[in-house]
Amino acid sequence: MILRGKEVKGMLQVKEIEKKILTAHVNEASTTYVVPT
Amino acid sequence: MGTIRDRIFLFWRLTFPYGDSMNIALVFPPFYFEPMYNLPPLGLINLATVLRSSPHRVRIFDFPLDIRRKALPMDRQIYRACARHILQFAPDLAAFSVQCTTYPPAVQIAEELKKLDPALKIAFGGHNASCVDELTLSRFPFIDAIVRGEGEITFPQLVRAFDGQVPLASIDGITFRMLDRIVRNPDRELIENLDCLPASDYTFVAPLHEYRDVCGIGRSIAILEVGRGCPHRCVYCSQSIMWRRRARTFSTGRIIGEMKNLAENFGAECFLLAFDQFTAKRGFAEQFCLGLIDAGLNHLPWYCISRLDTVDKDLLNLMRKAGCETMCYGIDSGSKSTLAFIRKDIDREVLFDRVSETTEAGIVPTLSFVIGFPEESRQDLEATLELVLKSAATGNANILVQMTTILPGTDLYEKYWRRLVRDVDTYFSLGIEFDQGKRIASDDALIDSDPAIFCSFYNVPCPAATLEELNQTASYFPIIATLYPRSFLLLSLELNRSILDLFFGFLDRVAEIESIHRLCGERLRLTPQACLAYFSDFAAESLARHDILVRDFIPEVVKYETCLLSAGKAGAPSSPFHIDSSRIGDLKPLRNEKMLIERFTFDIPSLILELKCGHFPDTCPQREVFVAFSRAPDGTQVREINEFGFDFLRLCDGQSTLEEIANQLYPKYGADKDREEFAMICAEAAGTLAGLEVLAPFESA
Repeated sequence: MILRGKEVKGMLQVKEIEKKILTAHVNEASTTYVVPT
Repeated sequence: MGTIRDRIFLFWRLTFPYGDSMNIALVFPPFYFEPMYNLPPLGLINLATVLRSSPHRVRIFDFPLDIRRKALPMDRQIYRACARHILQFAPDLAAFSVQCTTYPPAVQIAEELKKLDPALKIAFGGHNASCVDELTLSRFPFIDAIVRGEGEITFPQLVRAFDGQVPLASIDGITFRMLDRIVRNPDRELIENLDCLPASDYTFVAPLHEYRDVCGIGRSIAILEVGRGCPHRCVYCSQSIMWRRRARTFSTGRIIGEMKNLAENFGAECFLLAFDQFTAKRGFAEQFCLGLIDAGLNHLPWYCISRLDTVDKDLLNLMRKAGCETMCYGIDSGSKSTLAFIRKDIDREVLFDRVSETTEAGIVPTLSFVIGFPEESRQDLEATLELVLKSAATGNANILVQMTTILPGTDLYEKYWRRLVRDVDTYFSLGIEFDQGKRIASDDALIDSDPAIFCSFYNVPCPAATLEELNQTASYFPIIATLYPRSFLLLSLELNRSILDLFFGFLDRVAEIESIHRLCGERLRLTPQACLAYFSDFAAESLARHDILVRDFIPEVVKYETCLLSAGKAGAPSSPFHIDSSRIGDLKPLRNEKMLIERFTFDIPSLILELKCGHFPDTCPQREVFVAFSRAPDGTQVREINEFGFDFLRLCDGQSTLEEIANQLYPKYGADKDREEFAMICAEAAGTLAGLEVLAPFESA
């Protein structure tokens, strides 16, 4: 089955909604305000 | 008889008979708070740096790092162990950098040191010590001097005094003991040009990667001072008092040079830029960002701290381009009257918009809220919690909720010290639980004995809630706000229940469920895992008891937020692969193990967009939508896919070949195409989904 080079119209549609960065665990950013210096 | 100054000189000559070279121990007292990582002690590094050219031997004792390395056991003997360790260096002077939390450990180690070596001189420095200098010296005779304010000029002079070269009385910025008197010298002028200070010498501390590894964080963080001071007058703040409400910065060229050096020679992988007001002077922030971009250093991530009223879209976009990943904002409160009480001169109306703009620029805002100010009402507290939820609903905010902590020297202390009580531990009093998870009894006795010196371990009651309720809110509300901000606020609106009431309703429910697992009298500890496990049912039960459901889409929002969390749980993301469309008979596409695809009956994508903008509507149009939740390296990526994508992905089970999948879908989607063309469409879809890491690598048949 040789299909390369043949132009087809895509059927899949994908739209980004959001990206959620999970912070419910220890992470670097959540502690910046209170780190002793 | 000489002058008074001569007599003082004679006294001090007899008291401090040191030679030319001293051993100087710079001590960072023990501290361990699991959710907080440790950074190198920048203040002590700076003191070591300014003494580099002196004849003295200087060593930094970083006990928080030793605890993390498991080189210093956390038990009742910890202070003795610290003292003995310091004494192995045979120091002539031990100088402590002390914050409010580490004041009791510093006092106890100092006492132990003096007991073991009465000739040793002991000095304290830092915010807390600067504000309770005379009280500290009066109360603890084993401490010889306090360095107030910035130490880079004062401390070397103190060393010279202890070395017998200058009289203590001549040194501005110190408080010291002379016979039975406490002498407080005049304040030292602030350093006019910070650039005249040498760059912090990180060779005095362990390599940055050690801090990274023992704290279990992803990258080596270097802390870098950008400026000092803040012109504002917030009633709780000791920073602005210490820096006399004057903001000064290092030059941008110097900061960028230090970043380059730390990245190239010390393995720094990201930077915490220490300064409360990074964007206060727009020209400075812009010059810094442009300088980083020009120097080709904008691949280095950095964090900074600022105020929401000093940023806008353009500046945020420039900062993001220059490498800024996270900005910490002290929002404090969502209540107008509380903002007025704390003298936070900021327009409440801009708060949410600026948070939203920060998120849109691709910067993660870390938002610090404070609850339980002495005059705060229930409504004030409610307004803050609402702003917490709305901010979290923008998508990627780190939420910190802290109870009010009364720091010495602040206006809050001056006004409310008579109302101090010891009840619950705030965020600023945790980190010294060295006796099997509890504070050592002698630390508690010390704290009990002196509210003025140890006031950060005390509370001031407020009308909004009991101290225990405030403590639970500070401890656990950020979990709710991080995991279910949209559902929670919608639920509160739908049930017409206050956020606080609903929050305690949820805590009670969790306590009920978990009571069988807890020992009698043991306090509930809400974890993210418990929140994830029980919140959906709690929301469903609450809605079921509600007679008329206006916002009938809430269960789908709960489902959406649950999927966000479930899809992002541990598991390695798949690596990209390539489709060889000539072999579709051999290839068996497999959905990424951590991916979820769900069907919704409401227009969830549009609703999420509204919620992110701070609008919490009563209605949501119905529309069949398919949503894919897949794991990204640091969280969850959410995409709407069409029905073809939904059906296609459901068949990607690793068992069926691409050809078989194409054949199965052909009757529904291939009506106007020949089979070969349709197979190619499926191969293309697989390629696209693989590029998005929604599909795992193929297995050959």
